[in-house]
Parts: sequence; C-alpha cells; structure tokens
Amino acid sequence: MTIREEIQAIERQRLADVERESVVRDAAFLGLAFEDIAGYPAVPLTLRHCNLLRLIGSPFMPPFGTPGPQELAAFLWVVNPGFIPGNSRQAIRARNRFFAGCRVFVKPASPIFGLTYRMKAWEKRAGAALEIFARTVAAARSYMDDAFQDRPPVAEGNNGPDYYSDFCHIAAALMRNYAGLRYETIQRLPVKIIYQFLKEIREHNALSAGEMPVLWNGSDNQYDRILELLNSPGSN
Amino acid sequence: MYPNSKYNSGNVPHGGLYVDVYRPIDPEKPNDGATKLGTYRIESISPKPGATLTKRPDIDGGKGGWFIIDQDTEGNVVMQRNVATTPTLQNGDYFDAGLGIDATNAVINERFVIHGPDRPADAGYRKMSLSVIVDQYATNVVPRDPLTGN
Repeated sequence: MTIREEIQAIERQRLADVERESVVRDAAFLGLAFEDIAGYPAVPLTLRHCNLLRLIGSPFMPPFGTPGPQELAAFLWVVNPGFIPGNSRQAIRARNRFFAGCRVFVKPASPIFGLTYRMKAWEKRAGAALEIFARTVAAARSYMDDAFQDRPPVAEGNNGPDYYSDFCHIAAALMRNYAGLRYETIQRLPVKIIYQFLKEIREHNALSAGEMPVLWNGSDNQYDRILELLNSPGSN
Repeated sequence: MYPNSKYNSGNVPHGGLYVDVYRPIDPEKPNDGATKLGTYRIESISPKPGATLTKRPDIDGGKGGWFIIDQDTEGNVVMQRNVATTPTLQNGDYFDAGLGIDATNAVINERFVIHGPDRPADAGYRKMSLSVIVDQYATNVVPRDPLTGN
C-alpha cells in the first residue's frame, strides 16, 4: 500500500469517525431515557455518576484502568436505571438482585475434584463467562467514550493542586454563561450535553476576545496519523 | 455506515489544507533559502487585506474626497501538527499557499509568515492558534500539495 493509499484509507476512517461523533452529539439532545451496555440498561451518564464512579475508584473513569468482574458490576449498577444509593434495606436488596444478574460474566469456581468431564464443563462455563465479560467491558468503554467524546482537553503531567472539584468548575462555567441554569439541573444533565456546551462556551469566549477558537475532536486523531505519514522519511 | 449517511462516493476532499512550513536560514534574507520543518495541517485561516482610508475634506471642512491604500494582509490560523515528527513553530517560520483567485481566475500564491504561535499544554496541544502576515516581497512562492507531492 502506498502512502497515498494509506492516507485515503485514514481519510475514510476519519469521515466515519466524524459521522459517529455527529450522531452521538445529536442523539444526546433527543432526551433518550435509556442506553444499552451489552444488554444491561443504563441511563445517560451525568456528573453525579462521574462523582460516584470516581469515589469508588472505578477503572472506567480517567485515568482509565483494567476492570475486573466486580468493578464492571459496580459500574453497571451505578449507571443502572434502578440504582439506589446508600445502604438502606431497599438499596441492598436492589443491589444484590442486580449483582446476581452479573454472575454470568464472573468466572465460576473450579471444581474441587478435577475429574475430566467436570474440568471440561468448567472450562466451557469459564470461557463463556470470559466472552460475556469481554463483550460487556467493550460496550461499557464505548458508552464512556461516547459520553466523554467532547470532554475538554486536560493539561498533561502535574496540573498543580485542586482547590475545588471538577463538578464545581463545570457547574460554575455553565451557570456563568447560561443565565438561569441551576446547579440542580446541571447535576441531572447528561455529560454528553454538558461537554458540548463547554465547547460552545470556549468557542464563544475566544471569538469574543478576537481570537481563533482552538477545539479538538477525537476524529482529529486521524489527521494526526495523516501528518505522521506525510512527515515520514518515505514521503516526498 | 451511519443513519445520516445516504451516499458516500468515497471521493470527499481532505478536510483542511496541508502545507509545508519552512524556517529561513538567514532571517535577514528569507528569500535566500530555508529549512523545511515539515508538513502541517491548516484547520482554518482568515487572511484579510488591510487598508487605510484617508479622507480629504475641502478647506471649509465639507466633502472633498478620500483614498484607500493597501496595507498588509494579515490573519489568524488554527494549525495542527504531529508532535512526533514536527517541531513547535516560532516567529518567522512561513508557509506558501494559494488561497485567493485573481480577476483572470488564476490562483494567487502568497507567503504567510507566522508570528505569535501559541504552545498550549493540554491534550489538544497538537493544534495551535497563531497569526500570519503576508510577505509581499517574497520570491519563488510555489506552494506544494503534500498530499499529491506536486
């Protein structure tokens, strides 16, 4: 494949990425109540979910890590429409009921007596659980990628001390720019919507100051790949 | 394939404009040679020919006339670079591009000299905002299309 053909292929991928971003952005404003994570119902991710997931150290939050079955189950429970916070009897009952449905992706315990037929049956069950687990993790990551696609860029390395929470920062930016917007409303807004508003604020502020707004899309990574090819030693 | 894509001929032009950026070997004689820094992508560029409007009222302060003098063409650019293969830009780096069309339908090639490039340190730092001014005394202004190599 020549460099030109590679660039064409990357460009096709970029166009697909742009379309996907566009669909996710538009869909965020449809007010859909439920999303789907490999068959598990989920509500659109909000800042409240982000706070909860960060508090439990979820690997689905930045900096992203490798989840285990328990962490996946906890994530699915937090974004589940039936999620009840706290340790009330009702909450514990609902949580246990939900976790019981997550056993399908937990590796079963190996048989105590390693008889051949038992081992084979166990391997089959473990393989099936692993397959469901991998599929569900991929779907959960896709759900988070969609939610975070318009997330503002963050400084790399040491960003210095925090003096207030991310939620405070986001809520203050929104309330300052959109008069009448209340803290309670922001807490319930899907982050897909919030991040788009933050981009709009950034663009508006830059233009108001007579500057060119610099915004980033995930699909711009494809341009980066094209530039890398164009600057490679083999390119003319 | 996504729901809002009804037809994709596969021949959609590349977004943005790819340019080669150069750094003059001798800043005092920029037409005598330059080092190529690499290929960058221009996301947006807004060159605007400057003008000075001078009014000449008659001796009583009534209507007289006015004249317009061309000033430099300047503008702002959002540019993307690949951090692994190309350096950050400095004042005085330049690129050639043909963005205008003259009365005979010929492309006007111009040399855009960079000043005030920013160096943001966030995750989107592969894009930068900078200003350009057209060098009206530049010679041998021949933009190259890095995508085709011509």
